[in-house]
Amino acid sequence: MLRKRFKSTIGIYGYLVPTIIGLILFNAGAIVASFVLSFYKYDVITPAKWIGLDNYRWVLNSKLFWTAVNNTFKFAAGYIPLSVFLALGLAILVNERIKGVGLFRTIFYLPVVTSMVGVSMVFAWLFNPYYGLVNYVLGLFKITGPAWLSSPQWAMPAVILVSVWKTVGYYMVIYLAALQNISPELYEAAQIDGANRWAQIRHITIPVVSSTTFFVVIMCTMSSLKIFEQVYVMTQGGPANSTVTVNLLIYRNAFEYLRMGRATSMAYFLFAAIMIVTCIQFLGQRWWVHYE
Amino acid sequence: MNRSGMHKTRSLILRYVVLIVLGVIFAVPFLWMVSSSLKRGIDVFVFPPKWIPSPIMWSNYSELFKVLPFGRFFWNSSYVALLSTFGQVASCALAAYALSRPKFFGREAIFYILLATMMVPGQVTIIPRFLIMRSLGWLDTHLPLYVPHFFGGAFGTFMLRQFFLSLPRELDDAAAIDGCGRLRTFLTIYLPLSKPALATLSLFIFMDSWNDLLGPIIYLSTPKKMTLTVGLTFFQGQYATDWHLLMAGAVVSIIPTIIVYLLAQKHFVSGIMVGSVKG
Repeated sequence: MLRKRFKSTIGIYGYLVPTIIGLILFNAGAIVASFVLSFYKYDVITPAKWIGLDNYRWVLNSKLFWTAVNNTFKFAAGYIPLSVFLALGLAILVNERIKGVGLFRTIFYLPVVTSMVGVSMVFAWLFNPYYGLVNYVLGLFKITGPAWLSSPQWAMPAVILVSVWKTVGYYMVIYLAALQNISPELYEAAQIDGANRWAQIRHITIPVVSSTTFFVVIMCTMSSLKIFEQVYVMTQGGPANSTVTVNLLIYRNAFEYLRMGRATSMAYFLFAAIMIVTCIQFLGQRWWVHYE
Repeated sequence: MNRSGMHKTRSLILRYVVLIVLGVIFAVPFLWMVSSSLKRGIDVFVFPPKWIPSPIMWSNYSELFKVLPFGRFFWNSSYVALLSTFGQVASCALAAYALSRPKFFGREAIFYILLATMMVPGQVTIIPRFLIMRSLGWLDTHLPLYVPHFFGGAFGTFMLRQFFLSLPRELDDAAAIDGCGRLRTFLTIYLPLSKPALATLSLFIFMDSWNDLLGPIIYLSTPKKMTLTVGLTFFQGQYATDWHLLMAGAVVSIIPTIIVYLLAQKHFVSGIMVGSVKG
């Protein structure tokens, strides 16, 4: 009996062999290796040298790192609220049972499946200060558009706009699922009480989807902290470091300057930030999320 | 028409107006990309901008394939994405099956360790991964792009596990009574019944691999080994003001994923749902 159970356990581990190897090599093992590496000076070519907390000290004293932290927060401050409001708004709009609504769902979702590289090139052209469509349209309203990606003030807003356009469809679909779970009786009751559309959205829709909003805010925060592709392709961190982000610095240190130790210590700061933000959000949710 | 009828019509019109305005805003980048890609190099700078190019320059696309080895890029992207998809789906399905119904020693531990890896940002693991690939001598090959996919992944495992758990438990019992072993139950009952979930996961992995930027830029250095999306960035540097060619390049990189998406739309939506409903 015991032997049979033992054999069965061994058998089941057979299915898990790839996953366990992957966990050891690429995940758990890599996390530990990365942590160890953050205490070394390592440039791939010469042997690693133990330097204690020097990498962490260096990062904390680096002005560019703090600029990157600042920029990352700026991005988050624009990207998160815009994404949440627009995603919920679009979801409410495409949740209506009216003709042709499927086409709009597709249009809003399409940017999600496209590559950031292609999208960034298209937006670099749209945001071109002289010949770009964006400034042309602004010109129609007698507004002189800024230089966007080549302006230290406007590069980050441009990056935020592209990111929202690219990802909002994903959050829209998540909201859409939540909206479709709301029982129509709630709205019918509200209508009988004389509540108009706005009142219904404010007092029924928004409270009922608050757990979804919580999820969307967490997802948006995570992707804000990790923002990389947009700035890598569109601005390379410029102009005047106005779009340098923490993740871009990790990439540069690791793969352009081959400062592996410094890069891993930065990655650990990012890791800590993500953990802290997640904890705060989980603790804070009971104040404003209504679970049924 | 009574008052409430008129009110209804008015609000319907209002909704369409809002939808159309937003729809146009969302579609403009795509339309403008296609329009610019079919213009002559000089027409791109015409002010006010024209939407319909004249003459229509289909030859921009053939020129594109002359300047850069786009055919090669396309092949690289395709085979890397297909191998990644196969590896990830196969390894995740195996793990998902083991973690679904059977009870065994260490099950919880593996489950939670796997769950925890979802919280860790990729930036923490990318450097050791790079060093592993380097010590294997795999730099500047496509191996680092798809081999890791053969070793499972948290998202896919949880997604498939969720689906396996939704299959009736009686299936296992019936199979066991018929003397069907575990492996055969998995291959002949679980997998065929899970086609929708497997298709969804495949699509997600395919798209991710196709659109991946970081992998190719850190592992590859020979230009002709690049994937399509990353190959495009070369273009950016070399032809910075040839917007008509740049836009044609963007079309070539974006269209394949759009086609895949349009063909398999319903699978996407169900996949996002699984991702958002954790359990």
